[in-house]
Amino acid sequence: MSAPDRTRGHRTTTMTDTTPTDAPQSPARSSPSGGDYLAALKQYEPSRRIRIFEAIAPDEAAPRPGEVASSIAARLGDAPVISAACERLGHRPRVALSLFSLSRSDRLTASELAPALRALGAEPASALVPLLELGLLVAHDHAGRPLPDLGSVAAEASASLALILHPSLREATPNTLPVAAAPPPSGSAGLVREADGLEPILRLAALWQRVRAAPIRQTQQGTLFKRDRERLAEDPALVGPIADALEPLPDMAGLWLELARVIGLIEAEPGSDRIVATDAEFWSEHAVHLPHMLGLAWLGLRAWDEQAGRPDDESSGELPSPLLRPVALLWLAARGETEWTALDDLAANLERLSPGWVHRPDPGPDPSDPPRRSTRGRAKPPRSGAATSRLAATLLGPAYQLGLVRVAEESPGRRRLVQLTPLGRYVLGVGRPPAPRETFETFLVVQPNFEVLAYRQGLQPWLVGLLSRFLDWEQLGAAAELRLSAESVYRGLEGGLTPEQMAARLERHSGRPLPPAVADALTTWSGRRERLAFHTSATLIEFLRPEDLEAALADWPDGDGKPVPSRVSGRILLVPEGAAIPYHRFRVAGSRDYRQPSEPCVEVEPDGVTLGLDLGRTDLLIDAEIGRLADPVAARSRSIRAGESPRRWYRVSRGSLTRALGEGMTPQQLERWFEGRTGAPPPPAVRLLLHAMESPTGPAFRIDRPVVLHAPSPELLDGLFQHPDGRGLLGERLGPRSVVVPAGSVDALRRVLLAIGLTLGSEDDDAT
Amino acid sequence: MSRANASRIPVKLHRRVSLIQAADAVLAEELLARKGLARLVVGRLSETVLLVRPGEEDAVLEELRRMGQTPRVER
Repeated sequence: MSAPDRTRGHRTTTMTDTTPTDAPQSPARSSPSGGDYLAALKQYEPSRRIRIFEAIAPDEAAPRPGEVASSIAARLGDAPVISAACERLGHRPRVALSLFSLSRSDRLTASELAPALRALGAEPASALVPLLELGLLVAHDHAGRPLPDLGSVAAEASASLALILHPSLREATPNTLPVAAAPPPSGSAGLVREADGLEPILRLAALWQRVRAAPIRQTQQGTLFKRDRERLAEDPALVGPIADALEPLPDMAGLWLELARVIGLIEAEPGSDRIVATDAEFWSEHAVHLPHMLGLAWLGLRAWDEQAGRPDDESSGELPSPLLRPVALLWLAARGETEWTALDDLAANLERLSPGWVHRPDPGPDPSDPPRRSTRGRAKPPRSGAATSRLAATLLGPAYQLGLVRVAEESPGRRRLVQLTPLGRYVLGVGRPPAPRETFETFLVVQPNFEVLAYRQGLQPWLVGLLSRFLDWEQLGAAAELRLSAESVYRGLEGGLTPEQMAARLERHSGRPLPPAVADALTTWSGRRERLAFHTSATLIEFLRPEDLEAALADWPDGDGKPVPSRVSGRILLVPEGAAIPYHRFRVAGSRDYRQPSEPCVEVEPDGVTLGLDLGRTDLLIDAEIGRLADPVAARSRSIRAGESPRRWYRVSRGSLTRALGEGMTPQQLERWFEGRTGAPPPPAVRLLLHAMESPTGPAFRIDRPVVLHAPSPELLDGLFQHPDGRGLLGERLGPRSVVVPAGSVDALRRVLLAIGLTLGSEDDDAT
Repeated sequence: MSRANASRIPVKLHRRVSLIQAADAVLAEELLARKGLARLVVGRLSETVLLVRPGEEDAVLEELRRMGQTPRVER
């Protein structure tokens, strides 16, 4: 069975078209689609694009000038065309493709590729030019400099010059081994050591549990929050010493975190800053393939380095190129399965082929690069022996722990020898899947205090996955310490295990019945889960009357073992997922999706404070909502018109609003509630009440006795307003024929009217 | 209205509702006594069933776990 390629999970062969102005991403970053390839190709000179098209489709007419780039990309997407193109490649271009494949990169910089190719005995120009000529690679200068001719591209050692792979080459590119002068064969090997390959899997299992219990948060730059970083860096199950270690692993928590990210064991939560653990199904689906997946993931790891660990700030630069890993392993793969290679011979060979590359932590600085970041724990190695030191950190560190290489001591000479394991050969694509490890059925000790001891000889990746689902990893060493707890049992139940399955697994691998305390706790903890159910997306059926519910329940069709509904209240049924609803028996008067915004179902009566709840349109939330800000009233505000749904009446009062505000409802929320539920802002009467509560000492209402002038007709009052002697003596107009006259203006108004021949009467005159 | 239609039981459907179902009323009370959880609960459908504010599912789950509860989560 082949391993699922979760390490390529972020990749796709979809070619997204982009405009020529869409600049490809910065060098040495993986692209999620073929858009970068196409964008870079569109920035080529037209004549260069035409030559590529002619090279891959010699018998076809050239497309129109604006379509050449997309035609090239599309042609190379056809399996026969890409196969024919690859068949024309010589050994060195194939070696170059192997570096892309093994480093899981869609793009590599010229400054990364050139020395790595030299280290594999492949002269960069002869390796890269054929790929560029066929469009299998396109070059793009991130700094915006004009591209040199193809022959010079390979000679460029610029970190800003990216070489981008055609998307169809991302999958299943066979790896090609180097054929240049290999390191000399070693003497005979003794004291052979090979790791069980479980260390990374166990640590990742512990990390998964920690992240599942408490998701970690990351900043916008992708670095972890300090609290989470420290929590992981101090966890003994993650960073405790490795029992079978040949080389120290710097920043172990960072390594496990990056590996977990690449294989999909943890993932960024969409729409948040959290990194969360994936579902428990991951273990049942992928645990058996984890050694292979982790080997591939490590080969392409960019955010962690064998000597520098994980950078403090990802935004400020790049770690050393990861290509040393595939280069070293390809050299080991080039040897026979039983042949050993001395570590210092391999280092010397790499130094000879690509001087200064192995021990140099960074590719040469590029003027267009941003300033490089500082990294935790990075120290410049001494020149002498630095290449061997870096190679040892790579091969005897992660490669050994992942079970990709085994180690021996040369006799005579006592030099360190290395050899690929069958797993290592399989990961490099030059060997068959390794035989499974010998299994031991009994390897657990279950103690009455809920501690469980696991001897590693019995552990298998899939068993690590299974145990991780319901036991907590606490300490990892020659034997692993686990613990059964309420939380771990709950995790197991949530992951689909039953208490019986957990007990059976523990008994099977401990070879004896569970201690009574453990068996009892398992039952008790499992039972606690049944006391509380949280439905995140339930379907409820609401009936008008309890007797309708009973009738529906009595005739509910027998669903062949399908779940049946249960009563939530006298009028509401909860229908579990998967249960078939007999719609033919129901007349659905309304349907409400609670993930959608709430709908208006309240009408405001003319008095502004009486609210009528339209029972035909209500939902389950409205009773609780309206009960906060209004009180039910028994009397109907008005008669129900024909065709209207029944109403329930509520009244807003100062007391009900005081209650709402006291419970934390703000005036803004009240405003939004009215808009959402009545379709209009709060009525003036409600605003009046709110105003009274919010501003009890604000501008007061005022009462006085105004003098009102009543004119015989509106036109005559208009005339008085217009007349220059009259308008200054009038106050607020109250109606067509009436206006307020300020108290001090009555006599003056009388004189003005007299002057124009009119008289001013009074109430007394009317009475007489 | 046709005769067939009239014989059907009138109902309202509530879809994608979030609710907490406790085994007994005491447990429901205990949950409501927790301030952090109570503010995420809109109301009570019955003595044992609490209606959760839409969109607050993750917060409710987190709060329940913080209380030491181990709810069966039905998604």
